[in-house]
Amino acid sequence: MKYSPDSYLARQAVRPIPILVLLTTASSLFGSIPGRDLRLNEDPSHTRVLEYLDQAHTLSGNFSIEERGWTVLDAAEVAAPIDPDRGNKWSLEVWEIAKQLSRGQSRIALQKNALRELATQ
Amino acid sequence: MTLTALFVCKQEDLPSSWDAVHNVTEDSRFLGYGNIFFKSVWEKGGMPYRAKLANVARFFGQTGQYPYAAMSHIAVDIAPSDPPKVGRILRDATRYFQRDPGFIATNQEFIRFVLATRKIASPKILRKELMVATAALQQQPRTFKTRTYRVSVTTPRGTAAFGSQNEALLFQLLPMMKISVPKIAAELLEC
Repeated sequence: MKYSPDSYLARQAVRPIPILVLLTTASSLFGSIPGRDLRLNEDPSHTRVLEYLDQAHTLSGNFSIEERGWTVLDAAEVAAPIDPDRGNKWSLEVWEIAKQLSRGQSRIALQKNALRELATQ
Repeated sequence: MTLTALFVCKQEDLPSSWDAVHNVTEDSRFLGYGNIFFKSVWEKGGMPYRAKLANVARFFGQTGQYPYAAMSHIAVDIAPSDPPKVGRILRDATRYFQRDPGFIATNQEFIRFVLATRKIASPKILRKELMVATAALQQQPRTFKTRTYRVSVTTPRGTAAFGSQNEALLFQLLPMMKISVPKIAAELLEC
């Protein structure tokens, strides 16, 4: 899905900074991810990542529906390579969140991205 | 979860349910390849999923825009082993192109599809694609009519400037048209 630059920037602009920091930190703990084939293992950094993602997921409950959808989607994308079950669960959650939006580009974008994440896992 | 995605995808909002043709330039469900679920399903599942993906593609063609980019990848991938199935994909793409509800990106997507699959298309199918494309590209856009478009193409023989997307797309097809449909190409060059 292509976004207009305006809507993309607008979405980024209103996204709460703490969640961005959490997700960025979680991603950076991986260093470079070779493909998306990481699996949950004994690596303590994976546990830490999932803790951060869980926090982000919990905090997103206070967001507007649309922001919550994008935040959970981000969390699903990061979580999926190391914990596919969590990635699946959150992708399906994004699908359900999208249903609460009014019909339009943002709703269909969330639907499409949730499907892409589901298929990836 | 791959099967879940294949099942759930038909529950995505149909473009007609929110007048997508007049609000966005493409069918937002399926533009591109890497950005939609076709890539994961095809690259992980492979041939066992070919028919399912072709079926989903037809569903999207019936309800909006055919997923040209994704299906061109699949057609090219299966060409060495299954030419008849390639023909089916190419015919589907042409058929649904003619039924497109009017997304402004459709012409460009179809032309990219034709260019991407030109080496695996039979002469008959390629002729049909070019004839259909040529006819469509000579029509006025049905949506986003006020959008301006400027493109300059520089070749060893000079620079060509176009004031519409359709003109530029026709230019891209011209070398193939000269070979496959020379009469139509000659008529275009006379205009």
